[in-house]
Amino acid sequence: METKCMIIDGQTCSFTDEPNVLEVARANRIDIPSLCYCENLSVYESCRMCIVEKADGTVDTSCSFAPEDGMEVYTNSPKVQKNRKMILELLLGSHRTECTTCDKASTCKLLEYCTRYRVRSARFGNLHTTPPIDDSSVCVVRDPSKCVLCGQCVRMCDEVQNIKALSFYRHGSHSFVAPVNNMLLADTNCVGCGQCASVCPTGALVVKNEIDRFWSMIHDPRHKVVVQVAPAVRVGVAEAFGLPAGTPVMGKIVTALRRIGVDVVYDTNLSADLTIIEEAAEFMEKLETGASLPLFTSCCPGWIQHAEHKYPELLPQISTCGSPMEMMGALIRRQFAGERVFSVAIMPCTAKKFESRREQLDKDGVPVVDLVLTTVELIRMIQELVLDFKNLPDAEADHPLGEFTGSGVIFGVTGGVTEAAIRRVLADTSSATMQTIAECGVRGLDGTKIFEVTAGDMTLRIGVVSGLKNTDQLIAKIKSGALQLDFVEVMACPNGCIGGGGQPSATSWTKAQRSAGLFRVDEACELKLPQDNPSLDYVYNTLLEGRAHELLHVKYV
Amino acid sequence: MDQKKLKSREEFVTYQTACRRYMEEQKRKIYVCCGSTCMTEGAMKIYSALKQQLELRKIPCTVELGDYLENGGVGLSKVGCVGFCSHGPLIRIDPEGWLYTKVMVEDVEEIIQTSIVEGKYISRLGFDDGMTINKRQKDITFFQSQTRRILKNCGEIDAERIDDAIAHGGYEALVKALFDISEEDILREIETAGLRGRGGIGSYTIEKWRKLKNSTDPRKTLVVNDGKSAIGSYMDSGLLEGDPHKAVEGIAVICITCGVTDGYAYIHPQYQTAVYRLKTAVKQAEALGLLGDDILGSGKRFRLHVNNGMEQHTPEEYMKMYGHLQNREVKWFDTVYLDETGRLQNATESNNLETIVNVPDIINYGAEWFRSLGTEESPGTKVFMLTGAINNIGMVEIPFGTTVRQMVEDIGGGMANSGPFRAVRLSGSTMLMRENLDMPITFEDLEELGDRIGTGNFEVMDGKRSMMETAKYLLRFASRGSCGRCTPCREGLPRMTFLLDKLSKGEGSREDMDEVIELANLIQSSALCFETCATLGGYEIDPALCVGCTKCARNCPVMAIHGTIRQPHEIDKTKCIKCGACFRGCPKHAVKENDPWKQNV
Repeated sequence: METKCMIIDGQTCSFTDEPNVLEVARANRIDIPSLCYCENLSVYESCRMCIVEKADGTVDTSCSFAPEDGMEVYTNSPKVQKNRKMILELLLGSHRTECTTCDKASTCKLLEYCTRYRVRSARFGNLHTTPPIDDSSVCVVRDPSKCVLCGQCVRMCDEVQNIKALSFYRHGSHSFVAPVNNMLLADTNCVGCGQCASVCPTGALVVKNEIDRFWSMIHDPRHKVVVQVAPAVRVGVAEAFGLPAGTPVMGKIVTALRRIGVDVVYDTNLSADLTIIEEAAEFMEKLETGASLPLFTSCCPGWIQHAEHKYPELLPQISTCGSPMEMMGALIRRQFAGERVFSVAIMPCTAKKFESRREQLDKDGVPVVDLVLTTVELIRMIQELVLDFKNLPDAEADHPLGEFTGSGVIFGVTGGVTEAAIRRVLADTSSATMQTIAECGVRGLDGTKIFEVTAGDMTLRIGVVSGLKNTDQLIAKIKSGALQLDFVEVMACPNGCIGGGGQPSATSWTKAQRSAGLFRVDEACELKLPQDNPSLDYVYNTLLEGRAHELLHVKYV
Repeated sequence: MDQKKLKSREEFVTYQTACRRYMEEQKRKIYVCCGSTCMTEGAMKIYSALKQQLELRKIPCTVELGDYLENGGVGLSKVGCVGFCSHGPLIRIDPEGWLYTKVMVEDVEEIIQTSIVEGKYISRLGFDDGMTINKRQKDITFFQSQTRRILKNCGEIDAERIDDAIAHGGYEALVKALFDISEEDILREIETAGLRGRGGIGSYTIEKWRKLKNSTDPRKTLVVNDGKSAIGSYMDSGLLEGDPHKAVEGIAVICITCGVTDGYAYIHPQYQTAVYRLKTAVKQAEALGLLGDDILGSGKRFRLHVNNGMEQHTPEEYMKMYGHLQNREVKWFDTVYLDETGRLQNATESNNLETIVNVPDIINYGAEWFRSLGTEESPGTKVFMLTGAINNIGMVEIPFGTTVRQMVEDIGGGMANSGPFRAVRLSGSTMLMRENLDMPITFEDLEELGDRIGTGNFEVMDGKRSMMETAKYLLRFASRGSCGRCTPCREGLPRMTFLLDKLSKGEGSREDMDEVIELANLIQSSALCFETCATLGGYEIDPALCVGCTKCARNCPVMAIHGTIRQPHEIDKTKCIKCGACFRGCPKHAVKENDPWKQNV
């Protein structure tokens, strides 16, 4: 591709196909501030923070115009600085500033920019109102008084997730963002994916914080606190502690959790292996009996809720396997049967908070997981203890539910479930087969992947989607008959769990690093196939004792 | 005449000839202006009184639809807005062409006796321009300086009678479009004519219509709005009150050309007369078979639906209109104009009413004729509402390229009470100052100024008009119109309004004024769109007029005015907060406001 050059602040910056000047600047390590720009969403140019001065002295938003060869812009001219500062002063005047107690304080863009540009007061007067905080949803808390109307959540919910649970209302200075028809978030068709909170630049949308409950249980000597850690969490925390993005740090997380005071740490990877064994069995059975296909995966709670809202007729086609978190929860209850266990799951996901509260998933009358914490909450807790996380020694998860294979780890990225399932079906660890699987089209961060796999004399047509808009489009194709598939993996968040709503917000580059991190762990694993997991024998024969189907499967109807 | 459906072109021509013959048979005609302005001043009462008098004197007259007299008699018509609103209610008497202004119900008897029976002119009711009494409408400069194309039939036909419109050439273009000219030729003619949108932005209309024509959506629609909620813009309602049939014809021609079978007109419900007359026109046209299925036996169908619209100034108001159209809630992200992504369910195009009224003339007389007036880039004519501190207030139509001075001096009849000219506010917030007086009014000249021609409100301000109040007024208007998307406008405008309120109460400080200017500059340079308001220039005392009464010094909240009693005072500009207290209080009008912009740009 042809490389062209433009001049930003006197510095020559090369670019190829970047859609706008803002991207060019960021690719060349010049940070132009912006509150409303997101690479995956449409350009909204509302915040006006990314203004730059052109050679002719006019000011324009860098997100809205394309770079040209030889173009010259200034990101810090006096005019730009002055306007930018005033915009911040205006925004600050309409924002409820309670930064000391705000959940987003450490990642708040508004606070960061106000500090960076030395904006100390709302010079033009404080006009903010204090509408009530909406904490009806168990996943996301919405505080409209902190909203800067950047519209990222509205666009995310509409353009990427196709849920349209959030919208703009009224106009001018009276405009505000609210769930549809100004209802409570819990009453809308929100699936709790948390993508809105991950793009929100301020504290207007935050993931529900349940750290306090966790601490109280840690400090309660009557309870045994058992924690399971999801596959994607291990690659989500690195950048918060100054490590390269996407570095797998499961060993350090285990050490940190033990120092926090957790009694037992297990790895959800094991139940991911278990999921595949159950799901593959279910799939083979369906193929043989000629039941209606495709079989949809059931790991993602956002997708389950979306299907309940929008495609109730598809529910029988969704796998009856519980999600890995639920399976591990059930195993933990069996493992410590008779003891007072507080079962905590650390997940990259906000919708899991909802899943853990579903009554139809209770086993033996109790919820299998007591509390779900997100990756961000884990980071908070580690920061709370001021552990030198970077230099913590590695430790292994507890036995017997800490064993895992490479198949379990890759659950954290889109296509991972499918790849594990293919490994299970082909049951061959030769490098040629592994190579074929890796190259069959299952890998990569594309939103929709459709490919075929040959297993013995069968050819399976498989679809892998992430993001609910892609899901809707794929289902529309399946329903119209334009596409016939045997197996569909659905992840509600773009790029799967590595981009989950509970993870620290990430650019597509960071997500690629996280994905690579998971595959590195997979490569380092000697065991690749889910059926090779050494704990399986113990799980099936000792823990489940013939109750496998009852404890590992669910019915969402 | 009998209201049978016309089934072919020949039947239409026969009907037209009949209408013309009946019109010609009326020896004498009385036109009563029944536009909104004249009606508020009692035009309908005058109309009934005239009718009563004619009946009392047993003078044969044609009033209602259907009672055509074989031997002529007097024709009495309720016509739409003539445009000379400041001198209404108006009555015109043909064939002499006498125009009576400011007629009262008491004058009716005299008019019938003197003018109709005896055939004499009543000079008491004539229009006096200060020098002579202008007997006839066409002698008056107000009408001489205009070129009435769109408004040609306004004031000539009874707006509630389709026969009048047909006799005056109405629906001829529709017949041509149905039988003579191909669809492609019509679009090419409009392209050659270079018709531009009259709604504000002035984009070339043909682009929209080509898109609509090329759309394969079977349910494509055309929406026509009177979306001129900019302050003081009522020309669309004037058009509808005067000649609704031209609007119906224009919409029908474009829709049939573009293959649209259902058109929608959204008219603001505050224009009750306009809505009523448009609905009547549609009903009459349907009864005659000029709208509906199989128009004049051509096999083509088109229906026009008239709905109550709302103000269409902000995107949200547009969205509400589209929501109503599709019986669903339309969201922020649904684009306003024709949507290729299919988000709006069906392809929809919207046009301003004045734009579409130009179409029948272009088809009847050709693109060359249309281009003969106006400039290269702004061909044709434009209707303006002329208001403010001038003598002649009303609805006027001028060719593009007419200068601001011509508008004020010739058509407007000069400043009212011989006051000094201050500024012209052209549609929304375009301010034309004294130095722009000789600027031609065209799309391109206003673009050069960094402004738009807008919807066509032309408000002339004199020296008594406080720029502070104007700025506040415009700010409120801008806040109301703000969509709320970009930060500077959404957050800046309420704060500017707040600061100006504070300043005009005399509670502000020098810093507040600086903040207003800073905010205005921010909005101007960084907002998403660039519709910004004026900021203030400050005040000066004219030493020649000041008598030293000290009233201004006593009014000033910040003690910025000093001077000795009975000696001219002075304003200390470093202290002045530009609240305008001195300006409003001065008994001698010695305080002068500086023009906006001069200081900060």
